[in-house]
Amino acid sequence: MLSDPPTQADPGPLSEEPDPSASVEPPRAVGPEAVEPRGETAAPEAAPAFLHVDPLSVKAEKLVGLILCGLLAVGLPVSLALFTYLFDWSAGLTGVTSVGSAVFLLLLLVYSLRWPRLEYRHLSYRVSEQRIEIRRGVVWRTVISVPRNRIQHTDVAQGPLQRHYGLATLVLHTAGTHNYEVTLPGLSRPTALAVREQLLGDRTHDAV
Amino acid sequence: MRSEDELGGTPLEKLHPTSLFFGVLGALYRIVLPGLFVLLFAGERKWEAVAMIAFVPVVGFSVLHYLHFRYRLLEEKLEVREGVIFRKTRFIPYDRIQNVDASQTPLHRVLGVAEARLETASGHEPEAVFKVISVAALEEIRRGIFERRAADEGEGVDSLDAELEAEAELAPAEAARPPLFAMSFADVLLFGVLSQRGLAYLAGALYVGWEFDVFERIASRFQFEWSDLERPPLAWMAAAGLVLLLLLQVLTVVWAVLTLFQFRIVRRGDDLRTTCGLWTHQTATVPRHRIQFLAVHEGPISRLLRKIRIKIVTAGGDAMEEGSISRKWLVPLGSRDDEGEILAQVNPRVRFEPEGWRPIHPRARGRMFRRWLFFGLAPLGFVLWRSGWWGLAFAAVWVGLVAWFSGRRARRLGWQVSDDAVYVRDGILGWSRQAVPMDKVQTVAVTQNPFDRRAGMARLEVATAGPANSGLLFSIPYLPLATAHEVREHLQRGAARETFSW
Repeated sequence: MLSDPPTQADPGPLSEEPDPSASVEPPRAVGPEAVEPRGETAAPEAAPAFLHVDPLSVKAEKLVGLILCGLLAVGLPVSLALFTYLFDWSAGLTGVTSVGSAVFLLLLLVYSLRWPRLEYRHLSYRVSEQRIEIRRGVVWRTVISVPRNRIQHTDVAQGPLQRHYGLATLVLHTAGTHNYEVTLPGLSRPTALAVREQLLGDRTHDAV
Repeated sequence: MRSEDELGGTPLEKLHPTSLFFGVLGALYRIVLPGLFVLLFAGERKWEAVAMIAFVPVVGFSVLHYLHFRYRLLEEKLEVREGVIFRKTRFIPYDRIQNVDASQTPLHRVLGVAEARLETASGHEPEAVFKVISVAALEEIRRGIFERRAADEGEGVDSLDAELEAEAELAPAEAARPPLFAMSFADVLLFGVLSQRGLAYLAGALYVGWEFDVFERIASRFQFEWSDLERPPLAWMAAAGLVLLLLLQVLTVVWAVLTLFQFRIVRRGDDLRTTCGLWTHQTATVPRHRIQFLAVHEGPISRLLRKIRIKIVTAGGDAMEEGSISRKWLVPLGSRDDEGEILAQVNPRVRFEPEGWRPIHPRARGRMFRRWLFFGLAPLGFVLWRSGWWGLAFAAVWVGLVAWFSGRRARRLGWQVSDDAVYVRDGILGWSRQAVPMDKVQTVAVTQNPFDRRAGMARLEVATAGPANSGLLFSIPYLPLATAHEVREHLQRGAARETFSW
């Protein structure tokens, strides 16, 4: 678990830094037309709006996809050549497989350029007095809520690429055996730490 | 072991000396019996007999295990030291112990010992296994654990519980207290008839026979070739099958009587203590407040007989793997009329209101109908292709069945929610009802697959701390989306209100 204090100025629990490159739209509250559950607009506790994660995560995810594509672009021809040589593949078979791989690679490229944006659009969260809610999913949609007093422990995790972009994944662990690990990826690291602080701070009744 | 007294508490205790005997016996059971089997059928492959040398280290291990096993009751925790080469000292806080299970074979009973297992919420294997300790020592451990825990929790135990606890101390003889539930002998027999355990045994026997070529050996002894056998007439085969099934039924009933004889639940303070068994006595103790999940099942046949089964799930401890029946079912089979009373004792906050069920989305039936029809398409197409016009009759029956089933399920599916718990019911021919107490709710999720989205429906999933492999995930399918979110909100607020205790 990373627990060192945020190095940058704390931007406040729920604000997001504006994106310097401005290649994607700045963070904003998700409008009610997007995924707001119907019939729930007048929630008793005045709930704050759902927030998007850091737009930089789109870039990071794209980069991950591009790296994978790059690896495959090298790996596929090499293994194809190897197979042709080792197993005496006929010219036809080699041809078909090459075309197949090329199409697959192209599709993967399109996917890894388009998907992160979609995912970003459909990922949002809101933290309130009692709980955190995370909304995600492009095709399969899920709204999961984790009561604050059910959170056992939290992680703020960073992969190498995430570190490069100053992003982090907030991982909430509960005692449940299903959905026991709720992740919120793509937050800027200070935000992740702030959200964690907000969730864990001043826990009046410690459960166990 | 020099630091014995630095932590206070009782001195370190050993297992019962007969542990040695039972360790060796266990080794015999595990190695010599299969070994004999191997010897009998090994034929020329005599080298397999050599494998029995493995017996020696196993016996040696059980001796060493006995010599190195120590435990004691400290102020707030149980200390267990074990290990021969890799030493391990384990501290188990009393308030984290979920279950204390004990079992006694007839031999154990003669010698006044028992095998005991302690479980915490941490998961897969028991936290401590006492193999074997004297009954007196077991009772002492139990008392140590549950009394100290009751003293610790103080507030958590309501006044009635405290009263009962005091009473329990005055009269430790459990037989004196009327049991919360006692399974009648007729129900034990019925349980045997309803559960087809015999089939599993037969499959096991067939597998072993096949593995060791028993059939071939028998055949060669009687100088007979399978291929000589004429195809037997249908009637003969049917009769043989019937006899086999009857035999299996008898086997299952015998098994049920052996394991479930005199099944009873006694409530002692906050604990439910289950005892059962004819030869091997089993005891399981479940603290009531650890129950994460409650389910009442009514199979197609038991429903007609007005019988129910009650299942509970506690955190950790993979009850299924343990295989002890008293952990799998709180009530293996009981009358529906007793249900309310039993549940009120198990958790007074959980009450299935017969009139309180609320329906799912009105268009759920159509979705189920289309879905099952779709999954039947491939086999249906195959049948039509193979059998022509007869296939049409089959298809008609299939469509009728699907329509009937989806209608039944749509009517049966329902949910209710109160400030104390959330409930769901489901079923087509057999019925089930499930409940999660509000203080055991962990995360609440509303999910939508593409079909749900098109129809404006959603599934509500409530996660609890029950074991992952129990196959019990609380979910309400086919809810109108807005309703799903309302229920989620309600559960959220309820969970936030109540502290979770394991």
